[in-house]
Amino acid sequence: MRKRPGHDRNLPDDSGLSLIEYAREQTVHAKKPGKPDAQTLPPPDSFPGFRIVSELRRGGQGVVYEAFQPTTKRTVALKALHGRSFADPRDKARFDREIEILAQLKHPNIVSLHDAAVTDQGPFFVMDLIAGRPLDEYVKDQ
Amino acid sequence: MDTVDGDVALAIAGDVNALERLIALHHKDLRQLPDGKIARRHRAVLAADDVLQVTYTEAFLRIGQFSPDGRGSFEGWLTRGAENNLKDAIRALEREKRRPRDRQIVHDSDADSYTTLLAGLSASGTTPTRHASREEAKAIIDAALDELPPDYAKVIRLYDLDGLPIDEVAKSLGRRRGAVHMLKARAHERLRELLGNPTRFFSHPA
Repeated sequence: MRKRPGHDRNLPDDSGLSLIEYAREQTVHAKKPGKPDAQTLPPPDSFPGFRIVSELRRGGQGVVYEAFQPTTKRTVALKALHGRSFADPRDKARFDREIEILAQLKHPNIVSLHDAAVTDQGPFFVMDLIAGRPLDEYVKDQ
Repeated sequence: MDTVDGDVALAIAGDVNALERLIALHHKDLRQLPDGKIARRHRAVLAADDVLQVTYTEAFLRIGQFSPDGRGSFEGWLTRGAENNLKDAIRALEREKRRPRDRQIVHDSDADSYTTLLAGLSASGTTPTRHASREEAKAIIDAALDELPPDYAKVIRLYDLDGLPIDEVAKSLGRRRGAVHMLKARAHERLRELLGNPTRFFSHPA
């Protein structure tokens, strides 16, 4: 173990210190992307045919936006995978499966799938936007 | 909350010392990952450390976007980053075999390479304009490059703007060719994200 100046804990030997220090130095002055909020929504043309209005929910796999479709003048929920450079192929497969399953279901109590597409930023799909509380919050309260 | 979970929370909140500790904790395992996956024919131009250097840079850059999802999720995130970087490098090296390595790109002037780069990034449909003037393109790209990690910016300047072949970019940076391919892929990705925010660089957002 060795102690580095300015560091509050010892790092183990064979810790890849030079690689880690290089990485840290490289990003000291770089602009770092953060979690999107109302001010840092995706660019307007990220999802062709849809304009992002706000972010509704964010999970480990994807993010759900409220979006507006100018051609039909309807407001929808748009779900996209996030984090391309760290994207997991299993997440992509799970996402594709979610689209396939949703496309087959037609029931008044199940949200309908309207559209799905793939852009350079990854896949996304479009559903009905249901007003109200998120289901997980509702279940937790009951 | 144990020490590792605590460090993950601290790292996401911007504590770079916590992130260093986390990466160091997983370095030994990550170091093993690329070895078996780099074919013998690529070993002269791609090494495990090249993959980890870019992966760690991305981790410092993007830790604010990481959403923990149970134990081991940070290690999984880091591993996926390394795997994706490795894939990008191998894909690019394989592509080199199918196409001549030396580039035949001729630009009329410096500004032409800027408009070509901007148009190329815009082709994804995520940047706000494909029709910037030469001067505007130069100003936009230069401003965005200032916000990239220095090696990302260097690769873009040498490869995309000066039109140098990968071999010469590698020599100039003192890196292997595989490392340059990874840096280029990540640099384009980050540049596209920066340019995708119209209010940052454009006086008239699309």
